[in-house]
Formats: sequence, structure tokens, C-alpha cells
Amino acid sequence: MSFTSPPFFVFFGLYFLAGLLLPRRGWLWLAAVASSFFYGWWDWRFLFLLYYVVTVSWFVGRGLARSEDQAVRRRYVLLSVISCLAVLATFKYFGFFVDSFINVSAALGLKLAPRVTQILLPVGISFYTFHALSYTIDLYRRKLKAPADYLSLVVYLAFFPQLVAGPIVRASRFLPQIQRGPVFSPRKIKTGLLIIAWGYFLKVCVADSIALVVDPIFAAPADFESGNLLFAIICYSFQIYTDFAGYSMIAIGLAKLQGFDFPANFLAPYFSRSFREFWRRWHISLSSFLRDYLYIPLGGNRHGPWREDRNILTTMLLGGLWHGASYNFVVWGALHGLYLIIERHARALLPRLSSRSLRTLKWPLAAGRIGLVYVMVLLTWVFFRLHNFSDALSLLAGIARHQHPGVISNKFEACKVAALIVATLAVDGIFINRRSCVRLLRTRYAYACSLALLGVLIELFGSFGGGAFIYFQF
Amino acid sequence: MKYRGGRVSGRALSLTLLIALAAFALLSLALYDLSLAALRHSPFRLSRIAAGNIHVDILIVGNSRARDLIVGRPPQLRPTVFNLAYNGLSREDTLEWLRIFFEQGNTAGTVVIETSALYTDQAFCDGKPYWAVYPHLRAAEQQACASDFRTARYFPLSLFNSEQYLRAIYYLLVNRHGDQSWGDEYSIPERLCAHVPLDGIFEFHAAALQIHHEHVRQEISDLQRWLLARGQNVRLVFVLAPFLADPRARTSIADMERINSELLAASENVSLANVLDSDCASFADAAHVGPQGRTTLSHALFASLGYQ
Repeated sequence: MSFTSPPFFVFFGLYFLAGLLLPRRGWLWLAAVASSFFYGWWDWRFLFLLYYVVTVSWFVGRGLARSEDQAVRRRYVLLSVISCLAVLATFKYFGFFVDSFINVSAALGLKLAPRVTQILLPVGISFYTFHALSYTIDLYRRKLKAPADYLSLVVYLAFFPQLVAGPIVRASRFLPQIQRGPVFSPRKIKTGLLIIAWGYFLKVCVADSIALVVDPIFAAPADFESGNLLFAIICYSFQIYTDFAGYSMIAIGLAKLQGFDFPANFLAPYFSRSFREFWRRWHISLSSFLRDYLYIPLGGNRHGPWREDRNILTTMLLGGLWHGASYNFVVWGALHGLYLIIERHARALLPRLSSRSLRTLKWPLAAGRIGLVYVMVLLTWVFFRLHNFSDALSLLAGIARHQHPGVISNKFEACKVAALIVATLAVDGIFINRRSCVRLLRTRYAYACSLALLGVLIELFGSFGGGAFIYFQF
Repeated sequence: MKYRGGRVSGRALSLTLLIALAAFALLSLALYDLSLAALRHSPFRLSRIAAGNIHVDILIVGNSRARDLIVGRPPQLRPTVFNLAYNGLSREDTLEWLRIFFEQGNTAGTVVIETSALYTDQAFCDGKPYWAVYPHLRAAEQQACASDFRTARYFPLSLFNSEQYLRAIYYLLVNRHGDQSWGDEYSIPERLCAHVPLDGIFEFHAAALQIHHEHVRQEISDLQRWLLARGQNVRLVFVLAPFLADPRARTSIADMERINSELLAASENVSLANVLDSDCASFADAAHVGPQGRTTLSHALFASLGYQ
């Protein structure tokens, strides 16, 4: 059941109405059942795995609450970490490890052809395992005062707005809200509706329109000249942004309707002036999770520059691998790691500009930096989109072979896509300063017109085929 | 659920949402009427036929291969030509647009149908903006485009989410000369000649092998009877446009010609499949003629139809 498919609207409508009428305990049961139904709609077999993760997390939570002995607490959290990572390793990475093992063996002269069962990848596994880790680790670190009861934990891990593609909301942030229960607040409903409308615009209007134009090019990149290839990869950078940001917005908006506050997951990332800033604006919930649960425990920047570089690279490599069981994602992560490392060292080496120069060059500098960051990030998207390493290199070679730009195959759809991308960037640029958002929401007519305009744009440009969100594959 | 009023009351929220709904409805209606008016007044080929003032010697219909059959001609040149072809039209769409052309009061002495359009059964729902202009088209595509039809019932603006609409607007606002000179602008460069993908040819060939001959003959026969019933003394000619005669594709091209001969035994059937041979510069891709080839092709087409 996708957010853009008709059954979802019926589902959410019934769920919301029922939630309005139920007391807190009743709502917990409603949310647990509804979320299980939502997840089971994809494949009922996935529910076993989800409830396994819930049960292990609940058991670990009770163990952590009962014990004050550090060694025992450490063993409990290790159990949670191993269980969650084992689930990921089995369902997400098993085939990858087997293929890698076969390739390495072949390189060493050993011919292996093991019979490997194809394992189905459960939707959302990367997200709810991270939620489970957040719960147990936050308990261990005492950021959470008390463990959750089983029902609250089911709701936390399985809550349908964030279940299949995030955002990754920390247990210390969301569990207290669950335990408080939903709150019907006209102000939050007003905010939530606008966020949801914007999310739908990004997904069904922008992302799905881009997909129609670029998918044929990526399906057979060898058939297209450099102009088409470059156009396709630029469009893809916006497709993945609007697809994922759209999903996140809808999830955040749906939670907001019920009085729950989720953190923002994207903040105009293509306006970043550095790679560090990019990772504070792109998939914020994942990057902050990796920072707090991987980078900092590895030592962060506390043990000298070379270990800091190692920690950055390790974090980004694993962050890349989290996206998928393929070396392309490892390369994607590695490139981002290298960018961060090079930027960190370059910062120390570059001469400091005087304040007068900074004032004069403020806008050209900002534009130059934004452009540089965008181009370097664009390069990484080639590996992200094309899951075969040689295809990615062929596409880059195709772009570099700028002897004949070719003709953009469908100019009219391309113009429409370009206009939608410009509109998205314009809104990002305007609302990069959040006070503008608040001012807009306060004015009744501006709010109403914004909502109406988004509705009209969705009606005019929207694709309602229930197209899959890109991040569902992770 | 707990209620927490705060600075925005439930009543204020309801009023705001009502205003939003009213604004949405008004804007939607206004945009719908504006879009429809723009569509009717556009010099785009699919809009022009609504006026009923097209009277030509040759009418061309079909898919993108028919679109590229002829180079743009000034209206005073004989024979006069009107190209009604559009990318991706299926057999049913092609024949339906042909009917609409005549229903609107237009006339043509000869109708050229590019034969590869007969191979495709799958409806092309991009024509949905014209459902509001041509009720027959709506009725014809209702079943094949059921999903679009359902969406349009509740969200009429969704009809204009279409490449055809974008083209109509382009020709209305930007290029008011119209689109009769529209064709593929690309030419295969010499260095790529040996590596041209031939998938387009093989796809058409595969589609040709799937068609149900009796069904297609019946549709053509129905069309001819319909034309006669309207008193239209129209010459119907089926023309197979050129393919790039790459040695790897010669068998497929020959087979398509054979299939056409059998399928159209009772009709006037012309093959221009090999007219441009393997001259890459004349083609945009293996299945579509480029600007250089179009001039040669126009002459060959006129000659085959008996126009010099």
C-alpha cells in the first residue's frame, strides 16, 4: 500500500476518524493493528520478521531496565545489535556476501557454484532495524528513562507513516510522544496538511514526471549521446531528491495530523555550500543516526586527524552499504567519505580571506561552492542509479565523450520536467529561511491559496498510478 | 485523542480549509476552461482538424514513422498535404483520428496510412486532452484508458497532463506557424553508423508477427464502408516507411513487407522500406527518417501515389 495509491486514502481516512474517537489506550491498539495491516498489505510474511525484531527489542529493554551492572547491560545491548544486524545480514546482504565470496574465490583460482536460495527482501527492513537499535542503545545510554511496554514498542517500530522509508525517528524523541498519545490540534492539522500537500507534489508531480523522461535513457544508456546522458543524470539527482523528500514530507505530515512531531529529513540539500553542510541537509535522520551511533562511538574527531579520516570513511562506507547490497553503493559512500575528508583538510590549507573580500565575494563564492558541491554529488548519483558498476563507468564515459551532444529525445516533457525542477528549487530557496514558512502559515488566505495551488498542480501534473517510491528498495 | 485548541481554533481551521477548497475548485475550473480554449485555438494538427476547414489532396496518418514521411510544404504547393500522424498511435487510435478528421468536415482525396501503425494494439492514452474536444475519441478510448478515464471523472484537469497538450500550447504560444514541418531533427553521424541499435526495427517486426490478420482486415473494411457511407470517395493507400537497411535487419524488413502483402492483399499497399537503403545520414534512428532523408522520401511517396 503506497501513499499514492487509492486504498491508502481510504485506509488513512478510516484510521484517522477512529483515532479521533478512541482514548489513548484504544489508540495504541488501533495504531498497532493498522500499522500491522499496512505492512502486511505488502506481504503478510514480513510481519513475522517485524515482530521478531519488536520482541527482541522488548526483551532487551526489560533486561536493561532490570540491571545496573554495566557488563550485563553491555551484553544486552550487544544482543540487540547482533540480532538486528543478523536480520539485515540475512535478508539484505546474504546474496551480496555469497557473490563476493564467489568472486574472490574465482580470483584465487577456485571455482565455486553454491546453490543459494533467493531471499526476499522485506520492505522497510533497513528502517525498522535502525529504529530498534535506536531504542535499545538510547536505553543503554539512559536517554530513555524507562523501557516501553510491548504495545508502545510495536507502535514505535511499526508506525506506518515511517515504517517503510523513514524518517528514522529516535526512540528518545518518539516514544514519549507515543506514550502521551495522539493530540488533536487544529494548528498541527493545519501544518500537517500543507506538508502532506507539498510531499505529494514532490512525489506525484515532480519525481514521477522525471521518471517518465529519464527511465528510458537509463534502460539503454549506450543508445544515447552525451547531452541526453548528462540531462538524465541531472534529472535523476532531482528525481531521487523529490521522491525521497516527498515521501518524508508525507510521513511527517501524517504524523503531524495526529499531533506527533517528526524531525525534518531534507532541508534544501542542493543549496549546500560544503559537503558537511550537504550531510546536514540530506537524509538528516540517517546522517545524524550514523553520526551518533557509529561515527562518535568509533572515536569521532577525538583521536587525531588520521583516525578522524578513518572514522569518516568507515561511517560513509557503511552508510553506502546500508542503501543496498551492491558495490555501487559502497563506491557511492566512499566518494562521499573522500569528499568530506578532502574538504576537511582543504579547509586547513586554504588562505583566509579578509572580511572586506568576504563581503565583496559573498554571492559569487556562495554560488561557486553550491555549484561545486552539486557537481560532485551529481557524480556520485551515477553509481547510485546504475546498480551495475560497468554501466556506471560506461555512462560517465558517454558523458565525457562530448563530441556530439545529441538531441534531447522528448523536448516537451523535458521542458515540463525542467520547469518543475526550477519550481522545486525556487520553493527550497525561499523556505530555506524557516521564518518564511511560519509567516505563510499564519496568514489564512496565503495558507488557503498555497494549499489550493498545490492541489491544482497535483491534479494537473500528478501521476496517480501508485508508482513505487525509490527508497522502498532500501 | 486529546483535544488541544491553542491559537488556531477548530472553527478557524474549518473556515481556512473551506476557503482552500473553494479556491481549489475555482482555480481548477478556470484552468480547465482556459486549457480547453487553448487546445481548441492551437494550430497543432490535432486541434486544427476541429475547425473543419482542411481540404487537401493527401492526408497522412499513423505513428511517428508517418510523422516523418513528408517534409513541411507551403499550402499553395500541389499536391496539398496534411500530416495528422502522431507519436505512438496504435491501430485503433490511427483509424479513430482518421474518422474524426472526416467527421469534422475536412476532406482529402488520398489517405496514406503508414503500415507499422497497424501492428500496435495498445491504446495511446496521451490523447486524453482531446476527449473534451472530440466525444468520439473519448468513447473509443474509454475502455483502453480506463484508469485515466476514472481519474478524469473526479479530477478533470488531469486530462491535460499530456505531451499532446504541451505541444498544443507550444504551437499556440511560441510557434504559431503550426506543426506541419514537425519531424525528427537528428541524423545518425557517420562514426556511429556501424553501431546503430536496431531494436526499433525488431520491435516493429515482433509486433507485426503478433497481429491478427482477420481482425485488422475487418477494421480496414469497416473504415472503408464508413467512408463510403459518408459519401467520401477516398483513396486509401497503405505505405511502409523506410527502415535503415542494415544487413542485420534485412530479414526482418523483408518479412514485414511479406506480412503487409498478405494482410493488405485487398488494399493498395506500397513499400518504401528500402528507399533510403543503408544511408545513415538519412535516418534519425533505425526506424525513423531524419531531415536529410525526408526530402528523398517525399519525392518517392508522391511518385508512388502518382503525383510528380
